[in-house]
Amino acid sequence: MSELRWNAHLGEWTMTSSVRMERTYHPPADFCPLCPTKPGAFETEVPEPDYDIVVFENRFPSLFDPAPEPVVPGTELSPVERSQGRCEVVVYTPEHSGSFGQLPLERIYRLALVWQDRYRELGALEFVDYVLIFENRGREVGVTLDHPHGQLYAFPFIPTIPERELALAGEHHARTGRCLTCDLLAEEQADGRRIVFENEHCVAYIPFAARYPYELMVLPRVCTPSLAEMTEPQLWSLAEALKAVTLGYDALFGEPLPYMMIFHQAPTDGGVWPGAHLHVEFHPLQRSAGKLKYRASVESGGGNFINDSLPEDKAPEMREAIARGAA
Amino acid sequence: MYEKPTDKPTPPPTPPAVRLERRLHTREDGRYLLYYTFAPREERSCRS
Repeated sequence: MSELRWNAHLGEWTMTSSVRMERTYHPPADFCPLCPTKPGAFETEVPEPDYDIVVFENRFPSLFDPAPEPVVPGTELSPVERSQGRCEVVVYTPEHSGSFGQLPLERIYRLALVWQDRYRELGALEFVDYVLIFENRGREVGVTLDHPHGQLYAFPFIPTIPERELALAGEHHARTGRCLTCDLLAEEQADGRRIVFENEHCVAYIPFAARYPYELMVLPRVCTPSLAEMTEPQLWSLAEALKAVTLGYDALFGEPLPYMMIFHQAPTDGGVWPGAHLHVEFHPLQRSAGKLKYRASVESGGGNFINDSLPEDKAPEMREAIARGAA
Repeated sequence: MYEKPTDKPTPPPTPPAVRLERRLHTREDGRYLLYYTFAPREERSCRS
């Protein structure tokens, strides 16, 4: 049972998918569905005995191709649509243990090439308006399989938060003729206090109005709408930046830090998006060692975050952690 | 206090020249699986 139900109060779609209640939940390592299938052992999601990087359709998706007919009729105020889209799993490595940050740089670069390929292919589908690439890391974020992997959602609409960002960026571009993200990056570089990592083509910083204490924005210096336009040297720099910040996260408190890594980029709906500038957002849940920042009533019901710290105070901690992580 | 680096960021080594390849596998239930591999890519020289 799956469909899109329009939330008329908020002006956004909710996806229903009852099949997800059945998804595999913390299997023992010997029964990991993302490991290669070993001779004589049970067949995993990957039938071959070894692989480099694999991508497959999620067995428990939120979006379907083809999508089933909705189980309820909509109304004028509350329309219902078929949940036409794709949900893919991206398995980073055949190794069961480890993390994204612990992958060799060359493997993360290869992964970036795969993300680029998936963005292009899924974005070219007539029914796909937006490709959301993400990784949920840690059981605190709801991860049910420990094997290093990420996901892709190919949406039949532009998701709410990217849509809001793009609308604001479009207004800024119409008013100034400039990219909002480029202008914000220029402000961050002029100030400097919140920047935590830089390399040839990419910058990472804690945003001025960060919602989480260790929230990060990682982006190319040059305005690049999506992965499709990224050059190989840019992708290499991006891979290096993502490795540096994720190792830094784990060095912060000396333990794996739960986070969400989310790519925001240009929609694939055929429209013109002058304000689109690829950026990777990290939402790490921890506010200090052993303590989580909860998305509680004010954040969930009011929509505005309370950050218990100042980004200017957290950036030096993060810079030191990145240095420790790289050592 | 943050001190801005005076030097330009160290450029990373050149990305490896690889060619992305993929192989499609379709399961009995119809779901697809893509095996990605990366072959060394020969760089063309421009000798005249």
